[in-house]
Amino acid sequence: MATPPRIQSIPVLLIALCLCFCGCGKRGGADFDIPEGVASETFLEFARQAEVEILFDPENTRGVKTHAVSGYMSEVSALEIMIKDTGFYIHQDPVTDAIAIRMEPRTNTFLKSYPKP
Amino acid sequence: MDSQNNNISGIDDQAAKWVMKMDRGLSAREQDAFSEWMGQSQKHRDAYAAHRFAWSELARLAGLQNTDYAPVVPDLLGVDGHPWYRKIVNFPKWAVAMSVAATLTFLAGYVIMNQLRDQIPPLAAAQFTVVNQIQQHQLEDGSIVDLNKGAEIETLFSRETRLVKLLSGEANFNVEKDPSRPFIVEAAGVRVRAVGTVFNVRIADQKVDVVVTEGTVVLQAPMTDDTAGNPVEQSLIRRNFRAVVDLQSETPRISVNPVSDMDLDSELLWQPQLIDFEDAPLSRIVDEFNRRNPIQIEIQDQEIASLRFTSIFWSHNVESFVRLLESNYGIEAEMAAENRIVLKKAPIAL
Repeated sequence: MATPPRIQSIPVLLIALCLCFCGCGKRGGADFDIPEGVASETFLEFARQAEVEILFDPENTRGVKTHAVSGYMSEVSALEIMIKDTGFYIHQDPVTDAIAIRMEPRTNTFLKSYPKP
Repeated sequence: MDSQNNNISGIDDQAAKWVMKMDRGLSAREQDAFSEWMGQSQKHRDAYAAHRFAWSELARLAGLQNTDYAPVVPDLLGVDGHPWYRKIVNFPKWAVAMSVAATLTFLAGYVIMNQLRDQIPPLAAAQFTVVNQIQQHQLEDGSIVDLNKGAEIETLFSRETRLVKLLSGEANFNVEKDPSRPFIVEAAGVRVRAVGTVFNVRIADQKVDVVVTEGTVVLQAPMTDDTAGNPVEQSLIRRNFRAVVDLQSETPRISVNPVSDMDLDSELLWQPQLIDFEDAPLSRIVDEFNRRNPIQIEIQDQEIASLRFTSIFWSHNVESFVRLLESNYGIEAEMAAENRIVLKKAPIAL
């Protein structure tokens, strides 16, 4: 007697469920909840929530407002939402993930290694 | 009438069976039986011819499915009628049962392992050796250990205890609370037992030095020949107290003394901390890095010393800080000596 198609489709659904289940455990990034506000304050709040090191020139942030961001995403994605249409550029250090925020596009690319303390 | 129909149906069945047997090949005995059956009646021969034709037509249709032409699907719009669906769901019953069982086992195992991951620690050991740099590690239980340069530790975690052996140097422990599994640091035979607390342990000059900055620990002096079989000396060390065990003494004793906050700060300056500056001159940020690191940064040009920055950095992460300055703010960094970095204004590119 043939197995009813509905029952036979169970393995396919279960395999899909397993894949989704495993995928849920592998997340990267952080949960952000940063309201719109003055850039000098929101950048610091971003650094705290993302747990990344940050460096920026406070002069550039005067009078600039950043957009709100919320939800789970990568640090760079969150920052890109915040600085959209503000004229800021971001540069993430490929070794340490520290982030510099500046007004002009970056012109130098350095990847020197320095002794660690 | 029924009997005639049954009879015809019986001949058809027999004819169909002979066609299938013929398709796989007949044995000598079957060949004789087939000849005898065909010779019995014209009805047998007609039935066989009809089934043989149907069989060959089916074979031809099966061959057509391998061409570029799509097979005819009577119920194309019905989910059950799709060829992909039929292919996917065409599992035998045993396969369905096996896959359901395997999947449920996998899901149950995954959930259980996730829940018990923190409760059942790996019984494996890990070793961290530091040659010449300050490092921070998160242990399996979530505790944080900062290793000063030259420190070496070995972790031996089990279901009952979390044992860390300080083999050399200095380390600071920020212990994750777990009353069911005490956290024990062993340094040259001296045992420091904590549940959830922060303390610093250093082996130097034949002494073990323990400073508690949060909570309380129980310190046990090492076992010696004299104390074998007897209870070892132990002391409760509270926050802002230092305990020193002199290992050169024949019967090591624990001496406990208070430590002022100021002394504590200066002694533990080596530990990585987040240094946070808002709108501060570069010279001030650099001073803070220099205060906390053996690597010294020197600013050569006054112009860049007065550049103002807002920054959040780990105190030991000089490398990252310098590299971001160099990549983004027109500053050039140069290694002037083994532990000295000179910052100067980058030449303007023509």
